[in-house]
Amino acid sequence: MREPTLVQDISGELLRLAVHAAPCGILIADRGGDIVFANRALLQMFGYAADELVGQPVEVLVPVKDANTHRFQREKFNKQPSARKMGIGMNFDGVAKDGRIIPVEIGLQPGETKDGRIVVATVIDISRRRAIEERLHRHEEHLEELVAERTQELHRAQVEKERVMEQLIQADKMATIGTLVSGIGHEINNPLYIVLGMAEAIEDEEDISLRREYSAQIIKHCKQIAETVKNLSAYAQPSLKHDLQLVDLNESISAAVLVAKRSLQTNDIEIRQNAEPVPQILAKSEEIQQVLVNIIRNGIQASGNSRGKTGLIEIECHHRDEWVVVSIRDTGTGIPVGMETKIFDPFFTTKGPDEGQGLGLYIVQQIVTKYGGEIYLDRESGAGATFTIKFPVADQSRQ
Amino acid sequence: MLHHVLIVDDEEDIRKVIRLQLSGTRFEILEAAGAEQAIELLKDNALTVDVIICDVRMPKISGVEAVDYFRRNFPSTPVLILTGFPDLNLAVEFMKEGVLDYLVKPVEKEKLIEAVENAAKQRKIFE
Repeated sequence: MREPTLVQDISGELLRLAVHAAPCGILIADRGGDIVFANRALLQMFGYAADELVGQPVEVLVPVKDANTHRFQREKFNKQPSARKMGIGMNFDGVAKDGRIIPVEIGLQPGETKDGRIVVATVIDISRRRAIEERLHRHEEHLEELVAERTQELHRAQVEKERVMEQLIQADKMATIGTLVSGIGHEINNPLYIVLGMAEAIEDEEDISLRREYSAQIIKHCKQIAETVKNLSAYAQPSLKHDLQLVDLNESISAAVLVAKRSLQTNDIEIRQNAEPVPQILAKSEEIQQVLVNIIRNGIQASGNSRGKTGLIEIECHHRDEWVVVSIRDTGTGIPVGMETKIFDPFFTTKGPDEGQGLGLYIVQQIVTKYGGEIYLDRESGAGATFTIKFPVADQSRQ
Repeated sequence: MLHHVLIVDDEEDIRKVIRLQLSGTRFEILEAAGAEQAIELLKDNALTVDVIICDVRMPKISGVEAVDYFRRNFPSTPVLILTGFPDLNLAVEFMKEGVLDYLVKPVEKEKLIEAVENAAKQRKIFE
């Protein structure tokens, strides 16, 4: 490549003006490392007058602690001079006349003159840039600290949320048990009354065949009480197992139907369960019970509002692809248009103030999604409501 | 003195027990398997029913609605609630409605007789 022609074509005076007007420092040193020229910018940068620098070793611009290293580098450069552009690795500290340290970035260009070899150094004061970089770095560190703090806070909030959710689920279960207990009271007191009445009648009765009849009634109703206690106490058991189990949804539905019916004060409901064999799902069985009891109870209560006619609840359970799908349809008053997703919001309720705070469906949704399932309200059936719940089939290979 | 007692309960076995407990010469028993039947009987027997014994949990028309009807249409006929449902709040509500007593099953014979006789006395006072 041809040497740029500027040097030959431009007069010395113009060249001198150009060099002194340059915004970066320009310094020329001879082979021995003595300064032969420094432009205005360089002189201003380091706080020297021209005659103070010319003839001085270039090390006068280098901090004392770095002087030896610089000398060594210079001599090394002289042995194999080559252009070194500014950039990475070309940052150094310079020292001004007043002792100030000036961070600089330099470029080196060797050259030949009739007087011998020289080196032209271009020098930029990067102290401002350095200050900005340091501020940026501090900023970054601060941001990282903030992010770490926020992440920790988020994590704590998440843990708290999970803990509260578990409590809510438990509270909902206890609330159901509460109404169950009064329901159980009725379920047990009626047959107990018959037992008492029959026993009193036996006391007053001489006729042996009547006594036998009364005894038979006592036996029958005692068995009934035992059956009730057995069925309902299974639901009320505190959860002893914290692990997941394989759950058959048809069994869960049957148990839930019993529980739901008994916890409400009406006989006037027909519940039809259409079951086909389905694969098991992986869940805590009492939480699945809770889900089903909540929905069935809602259906019973909704149907109870339709005066006069017997309420009907139809429950179906079938296997579709990798899901077990349960649908619970009631013939009640239905859910107003536009409310299909709102009903799952916490504290949303269409019941009166004494009938519950409206947490039931919210908790149902939380439990269902916890197990990778989905729940939604179907409108196709017209009057009434159909809840569809899907659970993923248990992955048998993981057992 | 013969007291006419109307038993309103959907369970036949329960009605049988009440009948047995009140058996004897003092009580004449009428039975209704639900509120609808009770109302029909009352319309025919209004003057001769001294005491109504009514259950709470019944299909179609519940005890709460039945009591409301009795109190409005036959205010001088005392009502006793006899239920398996031990509920203090419900008892208070019934008392406000003018129900005379709230009995929880199981009830011993003597206690039931006493409650019915007290109620019958109240009936005589109102006549």
